[in-house]
Amino acid sequence: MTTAPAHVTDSPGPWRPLEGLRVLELQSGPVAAYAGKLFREYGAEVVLLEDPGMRSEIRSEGPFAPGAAGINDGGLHRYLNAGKLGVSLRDGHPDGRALVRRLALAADLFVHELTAESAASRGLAFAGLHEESAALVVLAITPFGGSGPYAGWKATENVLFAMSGRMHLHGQAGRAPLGYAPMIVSSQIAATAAGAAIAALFEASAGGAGREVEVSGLEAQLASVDTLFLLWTMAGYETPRGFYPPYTYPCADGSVLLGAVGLKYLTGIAQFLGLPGLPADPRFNTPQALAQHQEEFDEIVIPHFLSKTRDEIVASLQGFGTLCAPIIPLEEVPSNPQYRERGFFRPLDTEHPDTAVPGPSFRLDAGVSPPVLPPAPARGQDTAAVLVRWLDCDGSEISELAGLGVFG
Amino acid sequence: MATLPYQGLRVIDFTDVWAGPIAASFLGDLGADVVHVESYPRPGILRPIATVPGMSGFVDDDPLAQPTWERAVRYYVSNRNKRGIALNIKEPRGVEVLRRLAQRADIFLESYASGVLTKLGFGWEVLSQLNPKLILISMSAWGHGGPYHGYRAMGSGIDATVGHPYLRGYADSDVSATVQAYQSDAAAAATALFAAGVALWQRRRTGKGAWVDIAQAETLLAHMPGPFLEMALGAPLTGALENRHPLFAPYGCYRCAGEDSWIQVCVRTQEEWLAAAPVLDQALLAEPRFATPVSRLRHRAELDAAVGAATVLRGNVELMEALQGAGVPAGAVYTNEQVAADRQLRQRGFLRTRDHPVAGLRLFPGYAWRFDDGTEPEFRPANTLGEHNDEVLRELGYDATEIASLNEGGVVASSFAAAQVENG
Repeated sequence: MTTAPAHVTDSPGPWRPLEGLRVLELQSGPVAAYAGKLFREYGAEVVLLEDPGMRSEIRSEGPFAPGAAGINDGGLHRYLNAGKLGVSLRDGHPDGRALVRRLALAADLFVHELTAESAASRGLAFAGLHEESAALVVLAITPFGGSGPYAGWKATENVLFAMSGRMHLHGQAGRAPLGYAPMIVSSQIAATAAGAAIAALFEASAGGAGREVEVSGLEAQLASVDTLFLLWTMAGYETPRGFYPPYTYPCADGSVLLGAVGLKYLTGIAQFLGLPGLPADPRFNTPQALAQHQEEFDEIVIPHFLSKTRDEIVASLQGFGTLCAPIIPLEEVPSNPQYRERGFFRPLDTEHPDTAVPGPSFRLDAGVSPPVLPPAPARGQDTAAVLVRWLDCDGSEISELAGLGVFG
Repeated sequence: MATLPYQGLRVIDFTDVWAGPIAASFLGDLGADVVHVESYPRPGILRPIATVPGMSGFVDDDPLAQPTWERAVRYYVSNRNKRGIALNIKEPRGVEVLRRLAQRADIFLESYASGVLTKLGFGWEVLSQLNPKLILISMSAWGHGGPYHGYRAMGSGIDATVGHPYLRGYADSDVSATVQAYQSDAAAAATALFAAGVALWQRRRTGKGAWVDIAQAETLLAHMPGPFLEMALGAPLTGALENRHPLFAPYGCYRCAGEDSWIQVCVRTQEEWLAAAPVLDQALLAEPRFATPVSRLRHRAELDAAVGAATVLRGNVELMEALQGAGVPAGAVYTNEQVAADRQLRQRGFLRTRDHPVAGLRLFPGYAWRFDDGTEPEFRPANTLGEHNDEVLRELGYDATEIASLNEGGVVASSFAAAQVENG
C-alpha cells in the first residue's frame, strides 16, 4: 500500500522515478555529494546545503577551464552537483542552525557526513529528528563509522583504500602499492550507501518507520568484492601484489587485454591463431605451466596480434569464446563507438551543451535519453525559494533572516 | 526479530562471479529472500571442479580435499545471505522451474553478456509477460546496444575499455605493464543495489515492472569523472597520479619499517603539515624548502625523500596512529593480517567469526551499513551447491515425487561429481 509523502505523485516521467522525493544533503565531501547526485539523476529534488563559513572541498578541487577558477567553476562541483538546489545557512548563527534542523525535518532523506557526536552537538542526532519526523531517513556516511576509536580520524580516498587491504594488492611486486583513479573509492562507498538509504525510504514510504543508515567508508569497501580478505582468512593465502598480471598484447593499432587464461580460453586462442595443437602443448595447457612458459607463449602469439587491428582481434577472440578486450586510450573513451552509440557521455550541464562527461550509471527507461541537468548551484542561490517551498516561510520572515546574516 | 527494509521481497540471482552475486547479497543483507540459481551441469566460474593451488581449500586442512566446488574461497566472498539451487535450464523441466521462480519474484538479477538471457528463453519480453510486475536488472559488461554488446568480460576487460589503466599505473611505466583490476565489479554491484531501489520505488507508483540496463563499464566511468572533466573543460590531462595529489605535498605512499610495509600520508593544509612534521621528523620544520604549500610542491621530490627517510624507521600502524593522533590523514597500507587486527573494525564488531557447513568457523567481514536499531539479517553463509533445492521446489508447488524426479533426472543437483564439464 502506497503511503508515499504527499509531494510524491503517482506519475513520474521518464528518468524521474524519484520525482517528488526531497533530499537534503549537508555536504562536506565527495561521498555525500555522489550519493546526492544519484538521487538527483533519477528525479529527486536535492538541496545542497552549505555553510558560507566552511571551505568546500569539492568547489576547490577543479579541474578548471583555462581562466576560470571561481568557486562555481570547478569541474567536480559541476559534475557532482548539477541539478541540485543551493542553500546557504550559517551554522554559527542560532537561527541558521535552527533552519538546518527544520530543513532536515522537512526532507524525506537527510544525507550528512557527521560523526554521531558532531551531529548531536548540532541538534541533528537521529533520535531527536526521528521523534519529530517518524518517516525521515538519515544517511550518515563517515570514513570509519560514527563510533569507535577512529571515529574522529581524518581520511582521504587513498587512506581508506590503503586500510581496506586492497591497495596492498594493487601495483607491481617490489614497488609501492598504488591507488585507483580519483573518486572511485568515494563513488563506490556513496553508491552503496545510497542503495541502503533508498531501501530505507522504500520501507518508510510503505508505512514503516524511518531509519538512520550509518555507513563507514572502510567497512563499505570490505563488505564488497575486490578484497581477497576471505582468501586469507579461509585459505591462508596472502595474495601478492601484482597477482593479476597484465596479459596485455600489442597489436597493429594499439593493444588488447586477455581477460582470463585456462584451457577453454587457450582453445579459443588456438583457433584464432590457426594452431590447433596449442591446447595440448604441455607448456601451456595449465595456468601453472603457462606461467612458467609465458615468454614462449608470447613469442607465438605476438606476431599474430601485431598483424591485426585491435577490433579485429577482439571480435575474433570473442567469437571463439575467449575473453578479450581492447585497451582504449583515455582520450579515445568519450568518442569510442560503444559509448557513443549508447549515448552514455552527456553534456556536463545545460550551460555546457558541447561537453561530454559520464552520464547516469544505469537506465530505467530504454530508448529515452536522460535529461541534461541545470548547472550546479552557486552557493545559496536557491535559499529563499527552498525556505518558501519546504518550510512555508513568507517574504517577511526571509527578509528578517537575511537581515540577521543567517544566509551566506 | 525486527524487520528489514526488503523483507518480503523475492529476488532471483541468476548471476555469476562477483558483480551480480554481491549485488544479490546486498539485497539479502536488506532482508530480501534471494535464491541464487546456479548453473548445472556446467559449473559457475567460482565452482571449480579441479583444485586450484592457493585458491581452494582451507588453511588448516588437506588442500586436496573434495569436493573442490565447495572449497573455492572466492565463492564465499559474494554469496552470503541467499539460498541456492543448482538448476539445469537446458532441460525443459529446468526451464519450468525458472519460469515459476520468475512468476513469483520481484527482482530478477542477471549478469550475462547482452543477448544470452534472450537465447535462454528469458528475455525481457518473456519475463514481463510472465510477471508484469517483475523488475529485471541486467548487468552485462557493456550494456544492451553498441558494438560490444554481445561481448563477454571479467572486470579486467571492462577496466581496459574505460581508460582506468592509464590512471592507476606508475608514472614511469607503460600501460601494458599495469596490472589487472576488478573495480567494475564493486562499482556495478553498488549501482545495482541503488537501481533496485529506484525501480522498486517506480513500481510502487506505477504498478509496473521495469528493465534496468546496467553496463558495468558505464558504472565505472561514472565513478571516475576526473579525466573526462579535464577533457570537457579544456584542462590538461593529469594522468597517473601514483598516489600523489596535484595540489598537495607531502601526499603519497611511503615505505615503512618491515617487509613490504607502507603508509599513505595525505597532507592537504598548512595546519596538517605543521602537525605532521613533528611526528615525522622535527628537522623538516626548519627546512625553508618545505615551509609553505607552494614551496613543498616545488620541492616535491626532495620532500618525498625526506618524508620517506622518516617513515622507513617506523612501523606503519604505529606511525598511522601517531599521525592521526596529530590530526593528519594517514592510513597504513594494510595486509590482510593487519585488516584482521584493526582495532576500529574489531571494536565496532565488523569482523565476525561465522560458521559454515563446509568451511567451519571463519572470520568474515560484516555488512556495508548498519541501522540505528541494530537490525541485521540472520547471517546465512554462502550456500553449498543445491543446498536449498528441495525447499525452494516445494515453495514452487512441486510435491515430493516431482522433486525426487527432478533430482534423479539431473534437473537439479547438489554435486558436480557426475558432470564432465569445464568451468566457464
